[in-house]
Amino acid sequence: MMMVLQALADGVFTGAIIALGAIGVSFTLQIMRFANFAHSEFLTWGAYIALAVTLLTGAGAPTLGLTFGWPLVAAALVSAVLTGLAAWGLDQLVFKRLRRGGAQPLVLVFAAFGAALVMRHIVVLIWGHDSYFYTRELQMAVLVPPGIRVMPDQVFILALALLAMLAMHLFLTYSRTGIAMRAMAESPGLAQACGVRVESVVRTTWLLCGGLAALAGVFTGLTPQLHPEIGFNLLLALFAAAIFGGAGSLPGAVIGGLLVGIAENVFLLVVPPGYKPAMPFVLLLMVLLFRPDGLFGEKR
Amino acid sequence: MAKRGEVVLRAEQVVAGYVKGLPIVHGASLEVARGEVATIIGPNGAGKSTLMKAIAGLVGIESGRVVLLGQDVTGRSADQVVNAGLGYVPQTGNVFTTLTIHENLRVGGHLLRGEMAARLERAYQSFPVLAQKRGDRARTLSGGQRQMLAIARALMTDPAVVMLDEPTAGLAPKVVQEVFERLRVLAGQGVAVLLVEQNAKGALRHSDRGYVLVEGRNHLEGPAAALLADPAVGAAFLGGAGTRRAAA
Repeated sequence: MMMVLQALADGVFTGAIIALGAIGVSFTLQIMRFANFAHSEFLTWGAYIALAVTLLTGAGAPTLGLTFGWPLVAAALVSAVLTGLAAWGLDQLVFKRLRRGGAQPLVLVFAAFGAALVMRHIVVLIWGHDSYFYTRELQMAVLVPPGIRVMPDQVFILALALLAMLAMHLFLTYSRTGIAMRAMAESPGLAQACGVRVESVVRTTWLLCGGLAALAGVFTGLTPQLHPEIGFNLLLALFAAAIFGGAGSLPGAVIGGLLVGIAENVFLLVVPPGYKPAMPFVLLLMVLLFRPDGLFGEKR
Repeated sequence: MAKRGEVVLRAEQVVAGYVKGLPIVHGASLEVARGEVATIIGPNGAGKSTLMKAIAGLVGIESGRVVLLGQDVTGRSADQVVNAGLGYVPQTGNVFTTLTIHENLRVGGHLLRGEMAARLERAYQSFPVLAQKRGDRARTLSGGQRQMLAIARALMTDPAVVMLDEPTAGLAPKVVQEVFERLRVLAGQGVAVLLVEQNAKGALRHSDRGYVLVEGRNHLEGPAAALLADPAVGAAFLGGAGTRRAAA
């Protein structure tokens, strides 16, 4: 019983990180109308950009029982901005040109695969294949009633992730640009006929999705290390979560992320760890078979 | 409102289509003046909707010109045409079903800066049914209510010209009547209204001017009453009423 609760808790922690990445996948899927397989590399870039910042500032003295201090949080925010800009830059460099040329969605998908390889290898080129740590501090798990072990870092990350999701929700619900983004997600033509500029919504989408991906990347890098494949290893989980929730739905991506995280960890209770990467696949297949529009997706 | 009767939208010899080199509209022309309702009728596939989309900037124009309020808007993007003074209500999917009524109206007023609150208030006053349901998703609205929302949404920016693509399609007769009356009131306020209609007779009865489009070209045009009375138009485009030579 306790093992199941522990798996649930671990699942929520990883699920929240997956959700942050899945939001971006979900919105690019719905607004840009293609599966951006380079999205996982935004996580990697986000993690390494934050690492570069902390090399200048340090991760900060441990605060509040965490292994790091506010400088790392600041580095994550700087990285979110820079990774957002990088995502938009990639769009300007690659995807926008293809869109202009009237490329089919499949062409964009393959371009995304190419971009992902290039982005990943730029990281390898600069940092090599070695693992890096934001901080060398060690942390002891804390026993929380009814007997679950959690790391203070995990709790803090979960809180930050939830905060980022709440901010995104408020933005989409109340801001002029956020409403325009949702309008565009449903019907690009009608949104344009309302005076919404496509390119400006596209830019906002990349900035936000890149930013959230960067946070997911930093959080992944904190538990516990960075390597050039941290984004790539999450790719399937991100897509499973986004498709599970339904393209273009923020609550969908969040719940999808949590479910994928929980499923992965619960799955580990019954099968050898080697099969963990298969879990998102199984979920993805189930969703596609039984509810192709996702839990919260609109019928198309 | 400015001078009634002033032409505010003019399309000249517009050639347009979805694929370059394969136009659907082959040189259509029309004009609409302030305070008037003009209707485009014609058989299926005549290019009526495509002409509207071309004017709205949603379909590429290969040649010809579109002039809105004296400004050449040919080839501008849809958001720029809206900014220049056009309101457009497409035939299908003319509301955002996943957004609330209130959000639909806010997207309609996307280009507004300071006047949003006043325009929302005005929309709710002219369409009280929308005010009651402002927090509901647009997908919960009936067909007629959706059409009202689509019209209210297009009016948010105070356009000089409103184009509606088959606004009465699929509506109950009573609601059809209500939509036409709304559009008449709108024209009475000095807006130029342009319609595409399958319900040709009903539309022409509420219009000042009519255009008959066939194979992407102007076939006939004139005062709506004259078109209604024209036996040739009746035979070919108004369901054959008033003549027995419909098959000819």
